[in-house]
Amino acid sequence: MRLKPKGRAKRSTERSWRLLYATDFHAGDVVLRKFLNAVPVYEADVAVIGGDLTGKRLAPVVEQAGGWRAEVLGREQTAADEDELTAMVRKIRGLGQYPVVMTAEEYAELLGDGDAVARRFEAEALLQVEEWLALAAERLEPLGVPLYVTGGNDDYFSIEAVLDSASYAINADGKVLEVAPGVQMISCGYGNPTPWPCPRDISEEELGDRLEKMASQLSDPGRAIFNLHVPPFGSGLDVCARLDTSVDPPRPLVGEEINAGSTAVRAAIERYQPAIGLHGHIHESGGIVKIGPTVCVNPGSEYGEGVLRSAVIDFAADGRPSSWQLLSA
Amino acid sequence: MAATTGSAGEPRVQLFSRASSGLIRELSLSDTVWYGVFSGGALFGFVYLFPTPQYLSPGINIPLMLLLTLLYGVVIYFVYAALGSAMPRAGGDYLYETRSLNPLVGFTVPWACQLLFWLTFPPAGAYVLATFGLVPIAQAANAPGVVSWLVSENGLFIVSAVIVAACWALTVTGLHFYRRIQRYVLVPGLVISVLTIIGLLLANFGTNFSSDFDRFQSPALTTRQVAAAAAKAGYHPVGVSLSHTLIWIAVLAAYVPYSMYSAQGLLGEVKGARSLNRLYLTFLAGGVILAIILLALPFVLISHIVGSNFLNQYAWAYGAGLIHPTYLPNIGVFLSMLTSNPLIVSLVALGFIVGGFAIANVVFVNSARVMMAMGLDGSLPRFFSDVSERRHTPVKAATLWSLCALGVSAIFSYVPSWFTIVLIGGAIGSVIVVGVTCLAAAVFPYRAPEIFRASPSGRYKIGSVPLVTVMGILGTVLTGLLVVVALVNSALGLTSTSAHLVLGGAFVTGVIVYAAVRAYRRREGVDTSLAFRYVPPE
Repeated sequence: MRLKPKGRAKRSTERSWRLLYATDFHAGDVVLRKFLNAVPVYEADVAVIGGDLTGKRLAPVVEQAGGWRAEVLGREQTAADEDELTAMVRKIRGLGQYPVVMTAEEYAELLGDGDAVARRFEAEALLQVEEWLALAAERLEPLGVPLYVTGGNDDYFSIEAVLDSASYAINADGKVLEVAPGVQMISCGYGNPTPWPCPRDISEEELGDRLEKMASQLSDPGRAIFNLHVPPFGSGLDVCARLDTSVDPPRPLVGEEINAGSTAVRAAIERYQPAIGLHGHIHESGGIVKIGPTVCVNPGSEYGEGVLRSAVIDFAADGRPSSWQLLSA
Repeated sequence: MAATTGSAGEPRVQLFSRASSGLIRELSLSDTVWYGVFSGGALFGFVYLFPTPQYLSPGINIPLMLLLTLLYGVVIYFVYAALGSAMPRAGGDYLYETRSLNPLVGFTVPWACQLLFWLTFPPAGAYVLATFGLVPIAQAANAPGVVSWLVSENGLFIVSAVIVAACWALTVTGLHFYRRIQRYVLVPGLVISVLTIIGLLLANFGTNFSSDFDRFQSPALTTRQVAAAAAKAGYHPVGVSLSHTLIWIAVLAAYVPYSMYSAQGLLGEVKGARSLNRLYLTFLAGGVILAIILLALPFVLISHIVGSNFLNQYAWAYGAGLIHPTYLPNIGVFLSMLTSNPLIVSLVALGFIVGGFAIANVVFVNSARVMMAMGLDGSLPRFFSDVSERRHTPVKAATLWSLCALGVSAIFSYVPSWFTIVLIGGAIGSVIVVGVTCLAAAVFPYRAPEIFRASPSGRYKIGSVPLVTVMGILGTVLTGLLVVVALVNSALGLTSTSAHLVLGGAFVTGVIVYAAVRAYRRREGVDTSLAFRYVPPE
């Protein structure tokens, strides 16, 4: 069913307000800080962080006689005093890992207890998200720039409570929100199945139902923003290496690429033809494409390198996007 | 659970991983080193080692020149490793210069020196592939007609066109396919060829080269005729000339230090690019392989077998136009003289075929990424950053660039007077951009202090001066000298009015394109200045 007429008026190039979008920070402290700093630098009026806030690696910083040691960038490094320890912890956080200072005994216990590792992961993830949200409030509230955040398929369900209790940021997941006059945004951090599987991996059918439930509430889909973590299938924003799932964890097969996007997301975009699609999930497949009249954006992610990849989208007074670009910082 | 590491005598600290999605494309360290070797042209550099330098710059010491070029590279590698680890993404010189210096400068210099002058590399690669690679094989196969065609204008243009088409196909197919080609075709081909070359040279130590030469060039030319012609041309042996040795660094500087080329093209795809040490060692390893193993060692062996004096006589006699050998004098022909075994000739030629093709292909890979970076910044029209949905590669940009490369190939092939301008101009253009990037490195800690402090090079200082500033100044001065030498020394062929027009015109077009695109994007409502603003990392 086509909900929008095919023809559109010539788009205005006049900027009324600006949206800054980035995603897949994966505990990358540097990119989160860059994102918050980018809001005034890029003169954004609305900030949106897509899903996958939480990290993939926990880095023990083990006490030893005369200091601490940890693996940093594939090599063991030591810290001799508190200053060096602080620098080491900061560096690890910048890489998108959770540094955990612990005694040799605590480390030995973790090595033999997978459940304890999982609990520690979750605890560190929640703690960091809390810290990030506090920092976001501190930086953005004085600017009056609203921040919308969603979880992603990699994020624990438990961060929902943290997001919901944030003093300033708005948990957008599963909601229909008006982000500017006449412009509504629907958000979904769930994704189609991956080889891992991740906390919010669901079937295409279920994903489609979730999207339909939100999209059907939109008063003007043609001016809406679809903030959906996974990109539309076959869009070019969803190209990644094929994985060998016979090993654990799955590993990429060099030279073999597939489209890993969601057919449900694509169907929703094709049906409702929103103004903008904000996506992420596939880090190496950043770009901007049009699906019908919809401008779909995946800024990509280089969180491990400390590179903030973002999208800036300007909207005209009529609520339609007037220009869009990807940025790296 | 994932990666582990360790230190002597201590239990290893282990990172804990959890199941999660998302992968970053990874390029291994060895892939990156070899990419650098091919970026430096591999055996392509031989085209500059004989006979023109010996004729125009008497007393030149080629091994010393290569060693000094590598030392120059040591400075350049640090500059690029420092900037690359601070900004580990695609775009290279364009990225560094726009962010550290100025968007106009950062666009214009790479536009002129890379996007335009890189167009000269496909025909230059075709020249090496045809002359050093295919001609010896045709000779060994006793096919003089093929040899004549390969060295003709039509032959060179057709080979260039085939290379352009192949590079276009590889570029639009995607980097993953190129990686396979590099890993399973180019690298083995180069290694086999170099081992064959060194083996062939060692096996011919102490043999009578004169008879090999006379047999090979019979009946057109003998060593006696070469010596007589050289004497008539005014040749007399001279000692080592440091100044003449230094002059030619200006040309080789575009090749040996270019094992840092991955900073241009693939840095966004290199694993661990945020590590200064890793990048530095990667660039350095490529430089050592290029300068020492691929160029200096074979040249020293050839000089010993052929005799330095005869090398100079041959260069003088040919340069003065007093001899007309059946086969154009070059390093590859010397190698062919040492054996008549078609298999060995073919294995030797393989390295030149691989090197000629690879240097043409590298500029395709890199220019596509630079154009994408420019397009994403809004410095070029969106056309250049459009990515094919099917291929996930910049097909449109690659196609346009290929058509331009075909045009330059035609000039290279059919307008002999432009041959030197195209060949040397491309090399000098590459040096100029390195100099401007060194300047960007020198000011980087002051123009972007927060990014510098957060970068791996931020902790290296000499006194209170950042090391990257010191190396940047050193690199700027050294590169500046090389550029001045190249532009004022007639031996390098860039002192003519037409050469100046080509060089100057390239920069002027850059300014025009930048201004035009910026004005157009502004009309579209896109604020291109956003791309060049600093975002503090704290």
